[in-house]
Amino acid sequence: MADASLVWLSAIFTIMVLSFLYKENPFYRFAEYTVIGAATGYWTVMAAKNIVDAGITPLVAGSYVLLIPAIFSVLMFSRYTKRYAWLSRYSVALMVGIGIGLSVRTYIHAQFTEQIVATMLPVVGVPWYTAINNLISIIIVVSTVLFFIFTREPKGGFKVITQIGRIGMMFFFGATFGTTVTTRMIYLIGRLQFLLFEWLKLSG
Amino acid sequence: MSKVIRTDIPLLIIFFSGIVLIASYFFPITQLSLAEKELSRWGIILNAWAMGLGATSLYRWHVGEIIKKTPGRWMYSVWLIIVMSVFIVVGFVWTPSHRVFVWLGDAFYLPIEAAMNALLAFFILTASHRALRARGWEAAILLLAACILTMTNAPIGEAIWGGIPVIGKWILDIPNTAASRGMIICVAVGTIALSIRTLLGYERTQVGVQ
Amino acid sequence: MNFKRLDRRYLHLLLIAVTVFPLLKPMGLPISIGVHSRTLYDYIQHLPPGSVVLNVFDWGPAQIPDAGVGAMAITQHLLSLPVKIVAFSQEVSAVMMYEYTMSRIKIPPDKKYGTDFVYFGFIAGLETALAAIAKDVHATFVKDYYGTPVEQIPMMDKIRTVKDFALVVETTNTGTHVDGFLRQWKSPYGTPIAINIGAVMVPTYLPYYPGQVLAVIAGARGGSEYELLIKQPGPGVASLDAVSTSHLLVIIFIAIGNIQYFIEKRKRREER
Repeated sequence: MADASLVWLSAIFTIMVLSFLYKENPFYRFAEYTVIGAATGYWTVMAAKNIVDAGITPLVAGSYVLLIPAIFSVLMFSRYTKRYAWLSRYSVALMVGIGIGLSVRTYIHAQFTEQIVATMLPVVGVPWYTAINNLISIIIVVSTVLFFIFTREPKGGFKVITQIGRIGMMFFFGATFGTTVTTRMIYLIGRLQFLLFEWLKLSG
Repeated sequence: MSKVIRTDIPLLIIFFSGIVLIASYFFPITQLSLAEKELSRWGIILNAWAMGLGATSLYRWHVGEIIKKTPGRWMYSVWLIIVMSVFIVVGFVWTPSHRVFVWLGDAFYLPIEAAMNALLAFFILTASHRALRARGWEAAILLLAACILTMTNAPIGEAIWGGIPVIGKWILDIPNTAASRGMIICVAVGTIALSIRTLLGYERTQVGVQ
Repeated sequence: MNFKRLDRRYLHLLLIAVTVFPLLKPMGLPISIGVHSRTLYDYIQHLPPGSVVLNVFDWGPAQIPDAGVGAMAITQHLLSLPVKIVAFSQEVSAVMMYEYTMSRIKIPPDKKYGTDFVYFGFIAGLETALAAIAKDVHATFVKDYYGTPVEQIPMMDKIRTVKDFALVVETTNTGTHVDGFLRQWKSPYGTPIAINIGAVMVPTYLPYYPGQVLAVIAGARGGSEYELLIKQPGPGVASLDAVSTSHLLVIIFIAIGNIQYFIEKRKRREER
């Protein structure tokens, strides 16, 4: 459990941030700049640990091939100079190439074919309510995909199909809003739980 | 020559690094597998360095604010630099797992980040009141789904009427999942197309080439 | 009463009041257990002894009352079983959440760090890191969070590649992490993956259930259900009454807003 100084500091900062609800004020601004500085410092330390563990330690131990990413990493900072800023393109290019190579090879399976397979739901040989639900699912998936075909003007029958896709998407956006309400409220509840039970030590 | 060094070589780097990784997945050749392991390791190092870029940029910006003495802001920039520097010094001198560094994170990072997100609750309350209107039948569907899902996530929904979580689950499992699946498929097609274009050098904005 | 002219700050006070009251005086509304929490609980409960679980901490301070509830309950459950836990983070701020979790859950006296559970801290690279870990765990998890080289950690001796993991539990509020595991661990290797995500992400990630993910634990609600399943009700269960009252307030405000809208619409039509 947290010590008293930590609890008090956390409570003071929490109240500073919540004071924004009254109006923007110097206390809120102070807390805002504190967290930006803290987060950046924290990130830098963690990044440095990664560089030491994954890069410098094996390099010193004899893995000289790591000189290549070391050079590319240093080139990233050339973006701060006008004359040599183009050198940072090499670092970005390597990062982009690695990122694309790793993601696209299984993207097709994970987020395309698997989703199509999941759409192939049985409509015969299952209870009637399952068959209806499966049919609704298949129709909405197909009509949603057709909605995003912009090379054909939605007219006549095609327009009806895209309208069904829109209805499905309205359900999706509504569901997302409903769950967003839960998430946002729970963030507040968490802070209030801290203030009431850990700081003020009230019992619930 | 300038175009080759500044444009063509970065595009070739994208192509070859991407192709090696794609090929290593489909062809079980030892050399490709070793290349994949090495490139993945390089990716981690590059990503870690890119994070350091963020700190450098922030330092430059706020030092600039302090030098210019931007009214109403420069003193906050001084404090920001102090906080950032304390974290970096403590983290480097000791280790990130040292109790002093952990304490600093728990005191200056955790509560403020949590409280900043807590403010969103108030904004969503006023947004719900002002924005969610049944202006047409599509908006009415959105509104209905939003209300049912809001009550499904809370135990009071089930306490008011047992049908609310049943309908909420149906909305999540059938129309929501189906529409979301349709969108995932469309995004996948777009992403794969963009990735292939980038690998082949048709998309150049990622490397800052117009 | 015209809510449009009402000072927003009164609404803020009202929200704080309806949230604080049930925290101090709980109503004890019943909480039913959903299929996802039950599925994950049963799966973990039936893991063979000695199984290795990858418990990924990818949530930040804001998610403590949200996905964090489930993360703590799942971690507590895993520690009560004869399984090995390897943990790491792809989010920087999640490192604080590991410390937060371990300081608040009860670690059984027979469980030892290094022998039964280990934490490797933050690993940069997102999907790149996941691909690297899948191929060679020791080359990526070079040192643990406390600086111990991986070769000196007893439980890591037999954990070398993705095939040595029986389950991945990913706790996050960012879709990128889930997508990464689906592409780098599930698709190529078939590793079972369970996701414990913020409620806001549930509509987006349900399509992956049940074909690609084992279970989708939804934020505070899912976490509270898990707390009840492990018979250790905690902050998640305590928060749900406040969730109920705050949600009811939102519904009331939506209703008031719509009633006002239709009244004004009718007035404008009559004036014409």
